[in-house]
Amino acid sequence: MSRFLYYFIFLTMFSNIIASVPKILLFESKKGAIPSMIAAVIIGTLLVYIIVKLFDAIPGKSLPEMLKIHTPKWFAYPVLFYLFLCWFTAGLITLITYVFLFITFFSPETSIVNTTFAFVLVISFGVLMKSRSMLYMAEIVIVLFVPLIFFLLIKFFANPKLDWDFIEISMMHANHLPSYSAFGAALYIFVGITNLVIFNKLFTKKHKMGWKQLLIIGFTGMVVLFTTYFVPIGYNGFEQIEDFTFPWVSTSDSIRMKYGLIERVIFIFILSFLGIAFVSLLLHWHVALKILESIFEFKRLKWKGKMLAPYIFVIIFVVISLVLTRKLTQYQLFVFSSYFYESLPIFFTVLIISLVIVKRRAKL
Amino acid sequence: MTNIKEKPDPPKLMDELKSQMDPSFDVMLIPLQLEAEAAFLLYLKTTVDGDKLQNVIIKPFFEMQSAQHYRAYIQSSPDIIEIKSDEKILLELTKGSVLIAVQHQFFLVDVKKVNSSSVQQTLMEPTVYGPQQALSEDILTNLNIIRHRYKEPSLKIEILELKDKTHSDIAIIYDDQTVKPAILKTIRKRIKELDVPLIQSAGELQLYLNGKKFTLFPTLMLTERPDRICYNLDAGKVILMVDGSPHALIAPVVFFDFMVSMEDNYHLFWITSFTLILRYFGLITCLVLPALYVAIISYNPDIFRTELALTVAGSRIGVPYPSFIEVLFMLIFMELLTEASIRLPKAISATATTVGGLILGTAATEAALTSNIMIIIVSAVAISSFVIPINEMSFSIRFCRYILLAFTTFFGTVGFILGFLGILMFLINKESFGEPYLKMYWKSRRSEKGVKSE
Repeated sequence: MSRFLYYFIFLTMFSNIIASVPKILLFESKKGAIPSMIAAVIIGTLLVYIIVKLFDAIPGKSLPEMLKIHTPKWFAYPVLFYLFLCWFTAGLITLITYVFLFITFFSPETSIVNTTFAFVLVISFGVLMKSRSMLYMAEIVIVLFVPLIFFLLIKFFANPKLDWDFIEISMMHANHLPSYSAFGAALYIFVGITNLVIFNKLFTKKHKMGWKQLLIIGFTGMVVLFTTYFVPIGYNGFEQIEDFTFPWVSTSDSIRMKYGLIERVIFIFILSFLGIAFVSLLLHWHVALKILESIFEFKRLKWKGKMLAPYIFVIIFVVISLVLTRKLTQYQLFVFSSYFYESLPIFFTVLIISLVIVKRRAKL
Repeated sequence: MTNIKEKPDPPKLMDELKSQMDPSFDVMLIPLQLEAEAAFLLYLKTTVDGDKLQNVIIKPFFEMQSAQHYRAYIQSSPDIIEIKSDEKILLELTKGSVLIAVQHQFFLVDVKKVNSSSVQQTLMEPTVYGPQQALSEDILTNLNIIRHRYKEPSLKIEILELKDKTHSDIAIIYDDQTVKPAILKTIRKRIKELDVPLIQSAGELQLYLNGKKFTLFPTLMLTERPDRICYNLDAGKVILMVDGSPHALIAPVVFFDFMVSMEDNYHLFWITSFTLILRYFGLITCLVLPALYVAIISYNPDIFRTELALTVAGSRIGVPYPSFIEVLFMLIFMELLTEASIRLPKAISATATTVGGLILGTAATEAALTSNIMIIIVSAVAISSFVIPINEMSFSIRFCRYILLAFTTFFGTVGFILGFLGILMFLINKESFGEPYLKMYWKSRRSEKGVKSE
């Protein structure tokens, strides 16, 4: 497996902490979050395996291209539009959640439009880059920020304030039936691999996908999910945990570094996850943009030999996110994102079915 | 053979050429005559080497038995140039050739005088160990230096002539076994497509080869070190040289190339690693420190531990304006100081730095126009920007600093991180002759040798 595929997977895994995933998992903590997480790890790893295998059949091609060649129009365009909506929403949720989080914990005086604008300004430059540059960007950000995240994790686990008794109490609730919304949220961490829909264009070699790779992905997913779920419980107790809006950020504020220049861990936490969230957002919106470009090809819209369509799309993205960050409340965002996570199984089904159809039709 | 003409007529072509170049004072049309045998020389006195002309061209004429012998002698001269057209002859004459007419035949022989062939000391990239000699301003001398250092038969040198008014030669040098053909093709194409009136140095050529009008980061590297040239030849890169310029261009380059000093190859492993880390630390410091100051002072003073935050705030007591003006003010003065000390004659530049650095710095803090900490930051930034081994990169980073500062001023701490990521993204999206400018090179032994990998 190319190292970039791991980056896709790991980036989404890490970025789940600042999305609403922990919130939803903890919200469902008394209604079967633990079995849903176990189910999500097993099914998620399987999905990763299936998707990589299916993409192996169409090396060097992106899914929109294949769909347009091998399937009828009435099938290809709705599917593509649905996929676009999913990716765009995924990016939008990351963006809005992060902006809310930043406003709440970092700079309450700054206007929300200002913070959002800083984001979309850089992102809109970013999503217009070449697809190949995205991969290198993902790699460099991982190299720069993941050591920081590991340092934070060590801090989280080594701190005596982490009370394992709380975690043991939460374990008592393992005997419930899995909850659907917790399952959807947990499944989110395996979504990263689906970025192949566009990036498959850059991979011409077959991916080696054996037991070793599956174990790495499954195990990492397990560790990430359980950290996501149990660390806030360990710090804050089991009873009131579902009331937190940002469980992880609140947790990170309970740790101090006695000898550091920066005393409160929360600042390092927010800034290092800013990098991760940024790249995850970048990847999602880049894929969304590319799919949208494949649906609407305005060949006439040209200026000095440059296609104008992508720029128009990006401006639409920017306007939507600027409006939504102003309009939405924290609660609406939570509801909105839980709907999105609950739709993930449908998303995976649609993706896999269309891949299978492409494979059949192309007789590969 | 008695009726020798007093003064033989020069061939028609020579007359024509001479009239085309008149009224320059230095056009010389000299007849050589011994008994019945005659030859004619046409040259520009200011471009040819007088001694060489006397010894190689004129003297043998009188020592030879006949004009036929002399013709054979000239024909076998190693400096002979093929005559392609009349315009070509004129051009060659201006470059320092002599046109010889013997027995109704014309020969062009190169006897140019080069005053700039002395090899210079390294100025831009000095090293403590390593070779101390740089290149000269004469292309042949430079090629000699390269050949002397890189004795591989696969080393290929192509000479192209510029179409501008200098008609300088451009040498394309590469190792046939390691170079990527696609890159070589692009470079040849870009040089042939050049359409500019005057190119006088490698730096100028770099500007035109970039392919874009507005560029911030260099996509070709300018160097004066023969050892860096050989090192890059070995890595499969293409070297360009312009006649009359003591620098060579290296293409394609990646970001990490600009962080390598040749000294790194001549030291022990840990020492090299240490200096390399130091250099990257300097790079980050000089890029982010001013913006970080603004972000922390104006937006998030609570990031620091309390004691530190109080110290920083305390040092700003009495400063009458927001932090970004303070930073901008000090940075601009620092840039002015740097610029002044580069351009001034050496005798005055010491005064400039003393007056600017010491007196201005102290006075500005005493007048409470800036905080003490700002002075520390400005000097740290100034010093660390000199740590970057290649000057051009240091200039680009200096420029980026202001972009980051502006972004932080407008958007605060989030703008600071996003601006940093944005600069990173800009670099990653950049290409140098089809090679990605910034990416991780895991597989190659050294970052600089990364051109051939995937």
